[in-house]
Amino acid sequence: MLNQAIKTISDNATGITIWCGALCTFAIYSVLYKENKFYRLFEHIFIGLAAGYGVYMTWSIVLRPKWWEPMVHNGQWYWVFAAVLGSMFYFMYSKRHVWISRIMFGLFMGLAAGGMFREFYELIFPQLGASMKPILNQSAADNGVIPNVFYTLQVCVFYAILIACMVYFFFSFEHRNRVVSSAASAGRWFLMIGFGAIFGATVMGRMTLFIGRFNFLAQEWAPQVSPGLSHYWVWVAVAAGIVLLAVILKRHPNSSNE
Amino acid sequence: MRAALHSLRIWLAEPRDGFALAAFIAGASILGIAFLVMLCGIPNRYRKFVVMSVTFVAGLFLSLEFLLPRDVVSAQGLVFSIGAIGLIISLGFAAKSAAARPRDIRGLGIWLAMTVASTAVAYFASSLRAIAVPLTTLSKSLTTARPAVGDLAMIISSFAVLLGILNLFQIHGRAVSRRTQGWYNSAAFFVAFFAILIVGLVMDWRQSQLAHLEPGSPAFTTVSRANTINSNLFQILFRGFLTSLESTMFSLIAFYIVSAAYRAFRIKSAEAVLMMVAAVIIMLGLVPIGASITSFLPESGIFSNLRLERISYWLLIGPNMAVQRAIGFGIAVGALAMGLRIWLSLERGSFFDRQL
Amino acid sequence: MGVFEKLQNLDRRILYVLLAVVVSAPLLIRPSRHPGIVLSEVQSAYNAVDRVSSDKIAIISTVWGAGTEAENGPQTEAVMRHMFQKGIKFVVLSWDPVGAEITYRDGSRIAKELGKHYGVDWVHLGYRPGPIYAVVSGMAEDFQRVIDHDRFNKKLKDIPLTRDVRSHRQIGVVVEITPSGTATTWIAYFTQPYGIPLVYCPTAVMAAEAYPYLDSGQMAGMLNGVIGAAQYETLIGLGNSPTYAAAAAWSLSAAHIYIIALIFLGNLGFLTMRSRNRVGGRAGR
Repeated sequence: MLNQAIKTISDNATGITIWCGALCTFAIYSVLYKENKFYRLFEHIFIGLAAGYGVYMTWSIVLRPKWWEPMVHNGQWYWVFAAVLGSMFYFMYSKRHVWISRIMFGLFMGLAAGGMFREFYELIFPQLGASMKPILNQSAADNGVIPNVFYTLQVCVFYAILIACMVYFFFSFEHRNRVVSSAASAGRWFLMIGFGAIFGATVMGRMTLFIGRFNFLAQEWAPQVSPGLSHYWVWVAVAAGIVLLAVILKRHPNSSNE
Repeated sequence: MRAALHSLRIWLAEPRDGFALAAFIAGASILGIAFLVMLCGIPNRYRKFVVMSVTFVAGLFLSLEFLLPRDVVSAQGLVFSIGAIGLIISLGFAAKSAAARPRDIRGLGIWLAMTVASTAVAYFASSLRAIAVPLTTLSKSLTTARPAVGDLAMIISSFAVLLGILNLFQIHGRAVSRRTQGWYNSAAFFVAFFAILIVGLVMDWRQSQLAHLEPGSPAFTTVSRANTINSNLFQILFRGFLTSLESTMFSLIAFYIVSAAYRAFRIKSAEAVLMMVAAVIIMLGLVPIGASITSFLPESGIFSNLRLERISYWLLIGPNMAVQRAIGFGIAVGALAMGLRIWLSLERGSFFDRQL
Repeated sequence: MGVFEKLQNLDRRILYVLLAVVVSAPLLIRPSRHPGIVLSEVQSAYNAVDRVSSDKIAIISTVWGAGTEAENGPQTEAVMRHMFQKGIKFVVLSWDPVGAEITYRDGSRIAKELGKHYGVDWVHLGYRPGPIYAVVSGMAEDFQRVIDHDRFNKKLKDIPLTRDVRSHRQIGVVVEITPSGTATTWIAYFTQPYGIPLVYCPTAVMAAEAYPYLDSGQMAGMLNGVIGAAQYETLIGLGNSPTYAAAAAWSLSAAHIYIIALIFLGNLGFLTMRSRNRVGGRAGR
């Protein structure tokens, strides 16, 4: 009977997958109404699945082909020492010998820190070079044309903003000098433009994530609900449910309104 | 001696099989455990030194690989530069000495002699290939070793995958065993964890079985059918549960942004006004409706620069780019300083200062 | 209670419902009209991919998982379609275990649609746990040794596409599709030292910080979130197709107008109440 059940589930896997997806979506979104047990259950299921999947992938893609098989099937016995080094991480759970785990963490932190020279050179030096923009548009000047005024203005604006912002970040000395303090103050203003750009981009990015989820409900789940009819009717039903919810909320205004 | 070592290295690296392999693995395991026992026996006062040494040597690899020159001419230049730095330092101290004590001819003489000596040593050392060639050889060896180090780092770091898992098992295991409030959630955690792990491992096992079976044979058909069922179960867990839950969790942020936009974003200062104006222009300029709002303006000519998408784009590539570059410079200098402090174990904080 | 007081105390759940209503229309209608404008960084990204020579392959490095599939998924799909159309052979490298499965599924679907074959036209290298800097720096010198096998544990030397890929010399472009700042690792260890173009496909959150790298030439081009993906689809000839990216672009338009309206209303109410309190305070004295 169990085998039959598994076979039935397997044969209808596509439909079950979509229905499970919709169930998970509504379970998580239920927290927007208020904290509830349904949400907590699916949150724990998510943690379990993510942890289990991470372990499976690490074994399947890395440890089995690059450590286990060379050691056991290809006779490269010395890979045992990799396991010895890897086991040093777990001394973190020993109160007496926790320092042994710090050897491994130190190893990886040192490795990352050692790459900083290269990273600094490869990332920042080209930026320094690109910051040295010519004030005059050379190609226009070579052709005997009046230098592009807008280009020059743009470069001046660039220099002004760059220098003002860098002066703002100089915390090593006090901004007593009037020129320096004015530049730092201007830098703070210019930084607002950058933060505004980041804020606008963040809103766009986060909205897209919700749009993606809604797209799944609209384009994959809704046709499963009513395959014969236009799936717009599903949304009429959903809209009616939302209106009902709003009416209920109006009658109970104190429901978790923080 | 060298020949004996070479032979030993070849003998050790030779692949084994059967009983010999098992014996070598067992022997290596015993050696590994002995190493760990030895580590446990290291006295307290030497532990910090061990950690600092490992951190420093690990960092030395990538640092030297980048800093050391690749050809003899560059190596000679490097040696000469080191000498030149010595020269500049000597000259500096000479000037300082002359300024502080103008009549101290002897002191000034000593510094000038050191200046001449460092110049001579730098010139002589840089002309010696005996110094330059080993540097370039070392640099090339380190570059050749980079793939092996990358490989090893990936494998060793994979062993740490269970670190977080053990912690989760402790917390949820305690909840289930003590039947605390909401213990069924912890039980669901365990069920989900083992379900996807077992289904995934069985899927791999079936696929490796299929690779060794003759296509079309009865065994192949049976295993293939079982593999299909297993793969479908995996898809239900992966696509139906895991990816849906993960993407829905992330999408909750959109709602919190809506709530924050209405209740928390208060424009209380002129700087906040500037930030909001920039944000609004960029938000509208990036999406199709922004182009529609100012579509009445011409597409070319001077007034075309007032179109919303062009203002938005100019804000991004002009002022925003300059601001991000300034922030980037600050972060890079800070990261370099932080990296040096970690590499040289100079960093202080709860993790680094903990008693070993 | 005045109108503004009521508005200030509006239940946040009504705001959530209105968000769902606002974004739903374009997703249901599914307009085929793509954004009319293509930004220059998207055009540059297209050119960088288009110029890959026939003796080199491309690397698509994906750091994203299911959480940012809505943004990075369309980018990955658009770039894959372009490479398949142009006959550019590529490998997909994933640094997220969930993303590895999703990118393989998407790649298989597009390959089947366009009549391309695994192992010949594209290869999926599976999930790599990192550390990214160690793997990328090793790959640059000895690709076969560090990567070694694909997602099916088949050796790279046994796969036609990857048989002759030894190091950075056989790589024509790197496309980094990521929700985090991993592009700097590729720049530092792979693309900048060896002069290989890098196309950056971030989520919108990371895009604003990438403009300095575009200016300095360290990035050859950029796709800014799902909008960048929609613009890229226009360039690869999908400008009239009702794709998810096009619908999402219009949904985003509606969502942005909604957010701006909320900010405006919220501050209007706040300022009105504050001025009333001040007037009331002065009158009370």
